Amino acid sequence: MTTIRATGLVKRFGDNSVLNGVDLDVAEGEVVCVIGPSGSGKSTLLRCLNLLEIPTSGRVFIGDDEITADDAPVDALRRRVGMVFQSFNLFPHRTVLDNVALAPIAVLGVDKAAAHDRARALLGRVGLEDRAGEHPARLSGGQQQRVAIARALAMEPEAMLFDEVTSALDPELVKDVLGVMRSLAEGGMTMVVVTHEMGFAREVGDRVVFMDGGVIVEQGDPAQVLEAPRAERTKRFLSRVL
Amino acid sequence: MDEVIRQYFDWDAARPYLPDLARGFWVTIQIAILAEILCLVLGMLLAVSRQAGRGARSRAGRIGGALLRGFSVAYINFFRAVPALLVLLLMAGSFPFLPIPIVSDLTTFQIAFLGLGFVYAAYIAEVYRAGIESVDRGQTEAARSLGMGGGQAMRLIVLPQAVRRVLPPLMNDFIALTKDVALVSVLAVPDVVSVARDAQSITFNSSTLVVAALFYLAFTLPLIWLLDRVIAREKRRAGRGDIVTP
Ligand SMILES: Nc1ncnc2c1ncn2[C@@H]1O[C@H](COP(=O)(O)OP(=O)(O)OP(=O)(O)O)[C@@H](O)[C@H]1O
Ligand SMILES: [Mg+2]
Repeated sequence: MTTIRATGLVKRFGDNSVLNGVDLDVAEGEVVCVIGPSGSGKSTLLRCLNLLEIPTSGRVFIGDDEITADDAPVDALRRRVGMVFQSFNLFPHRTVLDNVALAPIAVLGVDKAAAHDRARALLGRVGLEDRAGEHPARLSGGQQQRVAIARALAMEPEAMLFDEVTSALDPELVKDVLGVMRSLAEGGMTMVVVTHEMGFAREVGDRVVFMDGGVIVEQGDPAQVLEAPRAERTKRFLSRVL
Repeated sequence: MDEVIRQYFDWDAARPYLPDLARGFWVTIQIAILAEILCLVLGMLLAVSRQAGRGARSRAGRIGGALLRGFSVAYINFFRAVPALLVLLLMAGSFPFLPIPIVSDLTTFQIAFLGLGFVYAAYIAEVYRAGIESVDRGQTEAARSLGMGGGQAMRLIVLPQAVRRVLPPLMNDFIALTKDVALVSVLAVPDVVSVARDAQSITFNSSTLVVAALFYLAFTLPLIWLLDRVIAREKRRAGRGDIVTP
């Protein structure tokens, strides 16, 4: 597993300043949950960490390697950090098995049979080995999201980013996805999890980060931040969502 | 009345020309297929160039991308704006006199399919582009987050979905292209239309032109039927949600 470190992240879209100097240090095997109101820059922060969004300024390190460096091997560094999206973004023209096996074959040059074996094992891990031959559209949202997690894991990432991965799911499907994430956390994966699931943040998170207006307002032990927030803005946010 | 019918449907006037007309239609089909292959490939290159270097971080990547984009936009707009007939006349009229080895050696047949292929590549590029842009940005982001390069994401993830969605307009353009092969008759290429017209100018009877039309119908009507089937299938698929991810 690896560490992720961001320093002085600033991101502007035109005049809209979305991140206003964010420092984030994620230790090896740490699970950091990011909470905050809509539009506070949570997704943008996450997307800056694997350079899907290029920060206006600031630096991001994956382990000892700076992904924001001018000559950084961005594709190679992205491989080390898996990402799961709110809208799943599975490849609809490929089977579930191919969704998981495609990147290892295309990017890592893993031999096809080996990639398929491994993909089946990963699908088993998220409880979907029997759906391998189907197309994603045949699966429920919760199942699709578990495939998306398996797809990211197939690259054997050293860290994972989750962006509100249960927000598009029916309540009864949320549990399975959170269960998969919990077992990942227990396996020692470094994780940054943007979430509205306060229960998950409290039980699984090692640290909770509260963002508002493009800055980190408050962070600390989940129980402390969620139950005894210090900042006024955190209190107001939590009183609305809890 | 007989006179009218005979002008169009005089079997005896057309019969002697049937072998020539059949050979002519074979020329038409060859030109259509060669031009189609050319415009599918060239159109794809243009469409992909048009997206080049958008996310590039390095200076070289940005400049290279801008040049590629500029070239493909210029190409596409030029060929969409200028009549195909004019392009064909320009190429056939000038190429034999150019001091460029391969170009001056081109036969009119080759110029015919090259010209049509160049023109249709512009339309095909626009069709592909619509397809590429219709694919959700999340698809590329998912591919890139897995470590794929921009080219890989385009080839493995975006293009397969894009091409599938634009199959109907691609087929439509193939039908239009096949009909536009008639334009090459002005270059003295012995396509079916030029054979029919030459015969008509000897016999003063239009039955050979009617036969040419029948040849066209026999070829394009099945394509039109197939196109309608493809469209209907896509509709059913979209209705079932097979293509779009929720
Ligand atoms: N590509 C973009 N172009 C322009 N503005 C953007 C872009 N992406 C995000 N923004 C803006 O950045 C701001 C923060 O967006 P972001 O998605 O990071 O918020 P968030 O905290 O994830 O919110 P939510 O909880 O609703 O997902 C919003 O005002 C949004 O409009
Ligand atoms: Mg968000």
